[in-house]
Amino acid sequence: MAQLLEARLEQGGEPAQVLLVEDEVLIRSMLAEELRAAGLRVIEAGNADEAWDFMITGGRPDLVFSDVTMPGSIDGLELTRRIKSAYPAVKIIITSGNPGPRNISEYGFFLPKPYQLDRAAAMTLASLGLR
Amino acid sequence: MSDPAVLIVEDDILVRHPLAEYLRECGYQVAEASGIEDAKMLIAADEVKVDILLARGSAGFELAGWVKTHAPAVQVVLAGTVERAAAKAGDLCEDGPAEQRPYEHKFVLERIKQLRATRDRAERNDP
Repeated sequence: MAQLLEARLEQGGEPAQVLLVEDEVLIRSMLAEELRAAGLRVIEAGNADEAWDFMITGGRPDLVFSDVTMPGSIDGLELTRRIKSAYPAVKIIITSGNPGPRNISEYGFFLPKPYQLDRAAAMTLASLGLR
Repeated sequence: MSDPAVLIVEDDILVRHPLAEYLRECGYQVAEASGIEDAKMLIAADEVKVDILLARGSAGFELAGWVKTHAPAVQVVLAGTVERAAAKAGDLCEDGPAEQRPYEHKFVLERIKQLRATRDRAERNDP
């Protein structure tokens, strides 16, 4: 995976940015490291409010990887709805331990929990067109 | 030997993320926690390496006591304000694995101030 990112960097590109939104700190930290090891730049948000703060202050990730159920004023579905509306070019992966609403695929790709870290990283890279 | 690892404990992503990126560019492995319980979980986890804890505000004082008992090998760096946190990150960078600083810590502080001002403006316009 890292070779693909190295090739992108050799072509003069910046590493792709992923906004990772997850309130379970161990999952977030380990997945963030997996994604960084694959050459991506990762912004860690502990809930959807933090993620929205990042967006409204000029953050422009290439992809948002978000859990659904998190503490705060909005959940992951509301976050991704806002992002799809305001920043339609941003790719979205949603993850949850529950099936989610019937129309969840309208929000983005869905990855059920629990997931393997390497599978989540592979899905992220594939969504970014990096594999 | 792997690079030394810093755990940043900070509840504002607009402070935590610029500090974390700065320290990564200084050559550290960096983990991020938004609060005390998350920090304890990361320190206690086998999967996460923590050599240095950088914490701002009152969370730092509570964590310092806990670390002394549960993880005495972890070096604790406390900062009362955002300005002090940026300065402490600068000190860590100076002593860190990178041969030279990627940039001065004052630029990290400026970035944090800009981001927070942008958020304040956005919240005033969209309450």
